Amino acid sequence: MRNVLAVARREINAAFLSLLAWTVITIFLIFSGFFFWLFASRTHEASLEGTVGIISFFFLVGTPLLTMRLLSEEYRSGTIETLMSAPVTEFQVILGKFIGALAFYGFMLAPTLVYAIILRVLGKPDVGVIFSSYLGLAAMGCEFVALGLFCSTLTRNQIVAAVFALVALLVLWVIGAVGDYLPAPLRPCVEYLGTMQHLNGFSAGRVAFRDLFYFFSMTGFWLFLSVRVLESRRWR
Amino acid sequence: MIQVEQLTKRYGPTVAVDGISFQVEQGEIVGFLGPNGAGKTTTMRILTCFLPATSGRVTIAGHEVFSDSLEVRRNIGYLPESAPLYPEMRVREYLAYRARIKEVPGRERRMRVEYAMDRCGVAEAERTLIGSLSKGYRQRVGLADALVSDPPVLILDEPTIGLDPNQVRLVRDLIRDLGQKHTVLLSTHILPEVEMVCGRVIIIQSGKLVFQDTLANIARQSSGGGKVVVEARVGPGEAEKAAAVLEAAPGVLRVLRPASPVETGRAEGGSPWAVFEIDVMPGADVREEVGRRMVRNGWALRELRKEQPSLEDIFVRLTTGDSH
Repeated sequence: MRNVLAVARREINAAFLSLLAWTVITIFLIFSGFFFWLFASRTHEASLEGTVGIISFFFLVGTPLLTMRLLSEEYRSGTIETLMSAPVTEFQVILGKFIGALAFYGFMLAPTLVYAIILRVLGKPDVGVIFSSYLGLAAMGCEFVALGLFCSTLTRNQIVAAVFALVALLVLWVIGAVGDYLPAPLRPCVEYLGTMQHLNGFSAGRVAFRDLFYFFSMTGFWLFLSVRVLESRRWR
Repeated sequence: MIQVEQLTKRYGPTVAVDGISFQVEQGEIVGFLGPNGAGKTTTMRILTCFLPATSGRVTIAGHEVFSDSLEVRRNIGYLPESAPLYPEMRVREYLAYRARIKEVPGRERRMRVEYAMDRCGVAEAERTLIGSLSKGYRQRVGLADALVSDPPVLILDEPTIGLDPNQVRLVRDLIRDLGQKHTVLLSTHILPEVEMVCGRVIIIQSGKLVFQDTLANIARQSSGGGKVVVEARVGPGEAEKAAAVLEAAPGVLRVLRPASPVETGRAEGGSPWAVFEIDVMPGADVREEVGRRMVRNGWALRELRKEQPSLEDIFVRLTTGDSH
């Protein structure tokens, strides 16, 4: 566990030292703040529903930028060799990187809680819905970061990793809508895979086991694949 | 400490390492030599558990590389070729991170980091970003990383590359010093360095082990035979005669005249200096006899020197297929 935390800590430090990460945070906060103001002033509703939708869309675009570095950079600079000749397992490395990236994701999301506080001061929002929305965003964050991390294990080129991740996330984002055009037996499977369908429940205030299970199984799946890819140099 | 048996590594159809076997005993410093592409780095990567072997068996500190990889990694310090580091970290921060990931206990970590920085001469740069360090500094930070967990085995891939002559000396002394406590396997292209630091050399060529011996043995074997170089002033037109006189001496195989007298310059107002290279029979030492013969003929002797076949000669002979 100490190894995992050492990797995670290094990852967080590295993120905070990169211009890209701060750029993503800045744009994200301006962007989400603007939409929060826009929705609140137009609808006069004490709700974060629209803002959460915007945040989740932004994460779709922003996550690849935060995760592309994770392993690609280690491959490119050769530090993977020093890393893997230390007494750490592939699983510990992946878990550490995942935790590090997720912590940064949390750091990005935390300031948006100010919107909830503003709503609480000025109106009477449904705190339960806000809570479940953030739970949804957190669960989605796990899925996105795990997928982005997986894409980063595939290539030494960060741009390629980011493009892979973006395409994969977009596919997950829209795949639910494709279900309508498919033959009936396939429809539930494809719909189940779509991220949006599961997130909608949370933003509407429903915390369903089915949705939580979706996010955590997806996270686990991508992390598992990442470990396998990292291990693959041992049997390639 | 390190045991390699019939190690083979294939990348698809190409064979990078072809059935090599060797051992490194505790406290030895072994030079691992070979031309570029001979398989040195691949072998080192297998020893450090970064790559798996296709076949063969590698044991380090009693642990098998494939089945007991974590335990092997606890026992080694590895400096990869070109010392990869994280440019955004500071030197001390990086070493502290490495100490943590290498499971150095919290109490000792600070001390170990300081020890490693001191030994490698990077202490004054402890707060500098690695990305802004010179190549020589980065190389030594990589070396400090290899030392930080105080592992019994050090595997160093070209540790002195990119260093200036002073730093080379520092690192060379450091490695020699480390050899008293640690077992060191190092690869390099700088052969005089090997002669100064290593107790034994292993030479590989195209993935095969072609030579393995201690430097003491190399010196002993070459003490018989070899070459003697003589430079003397002979009278005009006497060079041929001098060569014949030398050739007649017991123990001499043949005498060569590599440079013309013109090249070696002319003594003032006198006859030219001539150079003779004498191939000597194994076991014979002809220097005294050569000196006597030169003096007897009244030829002034300027140089009489025995040329040791160096590690470089052995290396070149083994790795180019050229037998002089």
